[in-house]
Amino acid sequence: MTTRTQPPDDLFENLRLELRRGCLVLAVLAQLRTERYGYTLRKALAEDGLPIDEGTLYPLLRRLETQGLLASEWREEEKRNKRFYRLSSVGEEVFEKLLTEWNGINKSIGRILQEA
Amino acid sequence: MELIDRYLYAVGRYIPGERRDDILAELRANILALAEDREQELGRKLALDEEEAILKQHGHPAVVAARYLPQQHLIGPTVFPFYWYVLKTAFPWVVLLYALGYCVSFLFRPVTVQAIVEVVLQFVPVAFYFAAWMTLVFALFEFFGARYMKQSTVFCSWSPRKLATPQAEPEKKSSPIFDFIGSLVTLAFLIVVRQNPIWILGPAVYYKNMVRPTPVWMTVYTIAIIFVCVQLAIKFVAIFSSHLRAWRTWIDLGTKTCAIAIVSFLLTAKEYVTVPPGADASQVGKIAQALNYAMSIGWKVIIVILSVQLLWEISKRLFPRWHVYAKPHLLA
Repeated sequence: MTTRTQPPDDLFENLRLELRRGCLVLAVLAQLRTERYGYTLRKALAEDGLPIDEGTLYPLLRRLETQGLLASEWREEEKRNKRFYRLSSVGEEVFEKLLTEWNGINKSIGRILQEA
Repeated sequence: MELIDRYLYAVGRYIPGERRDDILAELRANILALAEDREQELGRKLALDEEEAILKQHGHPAVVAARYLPQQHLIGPTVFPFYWYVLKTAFPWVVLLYALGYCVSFLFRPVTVQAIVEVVLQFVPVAFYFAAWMTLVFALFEFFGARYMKQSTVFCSWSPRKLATPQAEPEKKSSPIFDFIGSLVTLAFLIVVRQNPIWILGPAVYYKNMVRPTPVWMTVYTIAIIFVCVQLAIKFVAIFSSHLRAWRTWIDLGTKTCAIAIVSFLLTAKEYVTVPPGADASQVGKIAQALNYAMSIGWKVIIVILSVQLLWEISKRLFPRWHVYAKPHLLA
């Protein structure tokens, strides 16, 4: 039988990005329980072991805000205007549900790995 | 920091007006914050190269801007399988209708190699326009479907009970013994027909005022006899040799190539039938002329069909993946 072959490295990279995409949303929502602006959020994520490039993070913040999960406001800090983001009330609610889902998946994976 | 102004100006060119200023202001704040952090780490102002590195890290202006725009695609993942299926199903019909159209037109104008080449080349824009129109139709479907038909029942009203029952694909492999017998019968027919032309020409052989085959057919007949004898020998060996059976595909390709060579040889002849001595030249001559013309067209059409078949078969052997991808169930 003929199958599509893809170099293992490429395959891994695609799957890794796919896996990360969902996790990043959860991580960003979790970080934004505390108000932050883009750059400090990125630093916080990197310090917690989840580096994310600017080109992904900043548009993601916009998207989450458009979806109503984040609220933002322009405010001056250190003599410069910055856009600060935080979880909206809808965002808090969705975040809780996502967290429950995440924990459920985590436990399931753990069980599956123990069985194997 | 002049570079950042140039960078943001470049990004802004790709972002629609209403959101541009807001996005650029945020980008500026974030880039400046990063630059300040670096300056604090280094304890000095950034050099031009370092500023450049920060901006390059953000990405090409067009790419950065694209990430702020809604995801753009003509046909999304939901509609794409239907688009691809319709494209694959309809394309052979386009080829067939195109070929039929030109075959009919060749009945009313002379057939030359140049005319055939032109017909083949003219198919390229036809195929392009077909694909373009199909894409446009499905892109419109995607556009309106995504915006106005989210609750549409088109994709929800299907039922597994209404799906077609799986049909077992017919076994295409033929027995080597039947292959051999087939070639044997062909050889016997060729030998007998030499002595009894009535088997091909029918009662026409007894009429004086009837066209007769030209000597070119004798040459073709000899080639055909040799060709079938070689086939017969190979098929006989193939009955006992599984190794040779594995080469069956390539033998089939060789057979098709030989068939093309024979038809090509026929194409070189100008006359296939002639007026026999003593026949009414004015009456039979017209029939002979019409038949010669019809046969010359026929050979050209046959050679095109055989060539396309041969190329298709070769592509199946050389690039099996192209053909397997067209049948996703084979990948399962």
